[in-house]
Amino acid sequence: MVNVPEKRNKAVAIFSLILSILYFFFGSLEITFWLGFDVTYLSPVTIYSDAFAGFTLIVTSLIFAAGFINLWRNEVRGYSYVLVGLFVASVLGILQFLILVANWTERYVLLNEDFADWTWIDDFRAVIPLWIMSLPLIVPLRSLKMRRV
Amino acid sequence: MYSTVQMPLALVPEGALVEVVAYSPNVGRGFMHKVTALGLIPGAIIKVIRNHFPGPIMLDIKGFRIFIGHGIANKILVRVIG
Amino acid sequence: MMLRTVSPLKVKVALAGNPNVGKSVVFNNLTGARQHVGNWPGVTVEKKEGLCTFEDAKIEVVDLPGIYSLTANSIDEIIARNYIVEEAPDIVVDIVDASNLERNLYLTLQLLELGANVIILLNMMDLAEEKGFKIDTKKLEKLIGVPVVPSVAPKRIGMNELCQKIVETKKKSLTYKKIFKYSKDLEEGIERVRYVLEQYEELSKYNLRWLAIKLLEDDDEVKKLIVKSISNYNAIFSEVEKIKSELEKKYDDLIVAFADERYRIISQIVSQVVTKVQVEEPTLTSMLDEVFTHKYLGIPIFLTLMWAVFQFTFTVAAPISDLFDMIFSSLAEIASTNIKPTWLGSLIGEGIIGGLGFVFVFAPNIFFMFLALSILEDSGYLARAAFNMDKIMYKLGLHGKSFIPLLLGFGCNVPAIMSTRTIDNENDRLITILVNPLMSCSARLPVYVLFAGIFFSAYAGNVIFSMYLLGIVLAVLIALILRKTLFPGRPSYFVMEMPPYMVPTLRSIVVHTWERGSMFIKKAGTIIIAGLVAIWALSNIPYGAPIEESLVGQFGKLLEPIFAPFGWDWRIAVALFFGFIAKEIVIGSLAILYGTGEETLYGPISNALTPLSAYALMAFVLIYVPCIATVGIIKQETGSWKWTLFAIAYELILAYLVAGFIILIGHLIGLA
Repeated sequence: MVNVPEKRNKAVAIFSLILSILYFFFGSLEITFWLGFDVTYLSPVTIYSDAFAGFTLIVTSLIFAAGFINLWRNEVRGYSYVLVGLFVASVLGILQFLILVANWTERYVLLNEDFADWTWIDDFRAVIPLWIMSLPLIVPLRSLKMRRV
Repeated sequence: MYSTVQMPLALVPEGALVEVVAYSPNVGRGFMHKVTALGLIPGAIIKVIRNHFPGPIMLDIKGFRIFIGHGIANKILVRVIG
Repeated sequence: MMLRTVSPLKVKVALAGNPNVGKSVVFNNLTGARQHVGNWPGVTVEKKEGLCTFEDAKIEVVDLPGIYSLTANSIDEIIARNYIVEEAPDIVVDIVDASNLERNLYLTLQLLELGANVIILLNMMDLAEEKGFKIDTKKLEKLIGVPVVPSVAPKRIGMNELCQKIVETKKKSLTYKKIFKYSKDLEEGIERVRYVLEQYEELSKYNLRWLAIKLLEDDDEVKKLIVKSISNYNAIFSEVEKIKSELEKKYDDLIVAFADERYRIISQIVSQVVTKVQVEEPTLTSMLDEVFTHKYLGIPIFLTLMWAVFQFTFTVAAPISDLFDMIFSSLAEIASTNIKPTWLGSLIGEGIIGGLGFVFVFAPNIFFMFLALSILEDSGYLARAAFNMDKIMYKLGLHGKSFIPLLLGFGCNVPAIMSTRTIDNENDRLITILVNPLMSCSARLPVYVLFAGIFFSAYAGNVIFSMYLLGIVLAVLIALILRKTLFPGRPSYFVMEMPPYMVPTLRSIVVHTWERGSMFIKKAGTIIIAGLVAIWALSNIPYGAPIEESLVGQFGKLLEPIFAPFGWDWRIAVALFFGFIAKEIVIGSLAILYGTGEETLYGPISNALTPLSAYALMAFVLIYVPCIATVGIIKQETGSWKWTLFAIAYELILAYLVAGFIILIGHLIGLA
């Protein structure tokens, strides 16, 4: 795959870095909140003090970071990290979306009293917009020459 | 990187191409049957993809991926050919 | 016009092949809905049989376990061998992965050695093409001497041709039994052993060449066979030993020698039949593996995906569970208020409908979990996860494959124990099964939540987490102890295939999920419903009396002294007893016993226990006795009462000890 231009690698690398920083930021917010400091004002989306969710965000951040480091050095395997990063981002994003739908169903279809105070904003967590933001990565990935097997 | 030195498969670094030479002397029949059925016989050429020593090791044998425990990997002697 | 009744042609076919070659897809294609799943006699390996009708023929299909060769080292291989020798199927269809021809043909050669009538189904032709291989199937047919039918099973390509070949073979009584000759010395050795064996009439029904080869390879099962069939077996063995030692002057080891010869033959064939067209390019599989098996990122990624699976299983399934809850609750109420006499109404309402509702409420969770796991498994990811965890597992004296069952145990122990089937070594498997119930299943969570909420409010989350941790720590300890005492030896040699990643087909996911989910619901469901009805009965006899005087109350009083040192009264004793049926019931029973609804248990419970005794109780619930569904599955998977009772006993004792220990420490530190 030596014909993949250097410029493109660097561009994807920067994009990856930005995603990495964003995931790291929100992951840390979740964790610091869990530790007891109310930092919710720093975030445009809902933050729970969910240490596990924070962990998953940090992990995603690390994957994108590895992608950045490799691609910046023009190492082709950086694309592997970007691919997996996109995959994990999608898993988390789609999952959260499904949770949102599930809870919406509880509130408006089942009319469950436990959910009387719920609004969709409650479940609109960082992973959703972050996932949308990582979707453009599909473009460079598609143009990679690679065999399925 | 061509070498005549034999080493246990378990110690081969990731990315290396090796040829199976022999098994360690004290192996049992169960080991041999298992290993021969997978194609890990003397003369076979394998690529080491991942080596989490002292953990499992992932190999590519003729386009086919498996992973084996370091117990088995320790008992297969190979020489590095690339 | 003369009417002739033609009896349908009957053909007996066995499906053989390496694991992961698409055997089950072929089996499903051929048999559709007419399958029957059971067990091979005497073992816990699954046996699938089915019926396929093609033109005027009735084809009985038996799915043999996936194997790499026909040695005597694993149950799967022995089952396959014995079936072919004893049942003598008309045809053995060897399903071969075209993208891995060399390795797959090893089994083919062994099948031919065994004397089976082989037809090769060259499956995964699409994968081979993608890998850049061009295979000359006609030439392969010629060189290997048996028919070769190319196929792409998921798309049903080749299935008709296969059936046609099968029917044709049977009709014309064709046999495909090519004999491949090995090196001169080996052939000489084989001949000499054959000559010895020929003298014995008792062996005449077996394929002597195969017996000869196996004796030279020191095959245990064949040796057992000789001992069983011939009285002066020693004569045979000493002759064979002589022949072997002569051969060993030339070849270091006969097992390797034969393997070598087989691969030599295979190489020759493959080099004439396969041409590689494309240049090596990085594959999706290698790209994904780069990250998924990364030394440092591999496990965190795995944990992330597992967290996603659990979230999916519980949170996303919740609305469906809640829906069932609502439906069944209202049905139960309608029943109990409208059916006369009142006792019948109560039985049907609270008892039966309540019981059914209970099962339906957790069914969505189970199905969602199986769904997520099917996706992980079929895509090929799970093999990589096992790879990542193997190192840790080994240190714990466990097999790498034990990891997935233990993980599943956090959801529910029943499917977790069912999934231990993939572990070949009996000891490893047993340890995994015995330790499994210590993985805190989801049924125990409501108990933790209730007690932690009442007694530890602000710290509830951490207290609950400590329970899970306690479970893991105990599991590790018990596994180590079991390994040292009852099952000495290191975990068996570990080999695992890493199939190429693929996007699982919707059909296979749905089939897997439905298979496992419904099996679980049927088993667990019936037990739980029966149990709940029993509880209802015991607590309502005599009907109308206050709870203390019912059968249940009296029973509780009997149990009370056992738990007195922990500060638990008879109600708790009874609830624990019913927890044996299903851990979820513990809270429900407490509610019935205190005569309150579940929401208002707060009062009575905070009066009945202290934080210390509550924590000890939580630990007790974690450890004691697996629920009856789990007990049932342990019995099924281990096939013995001995281990099942052992599991129940050691857990009861351990639970009692740990709870006692907690109370003791508590008193010593002055927390009483």
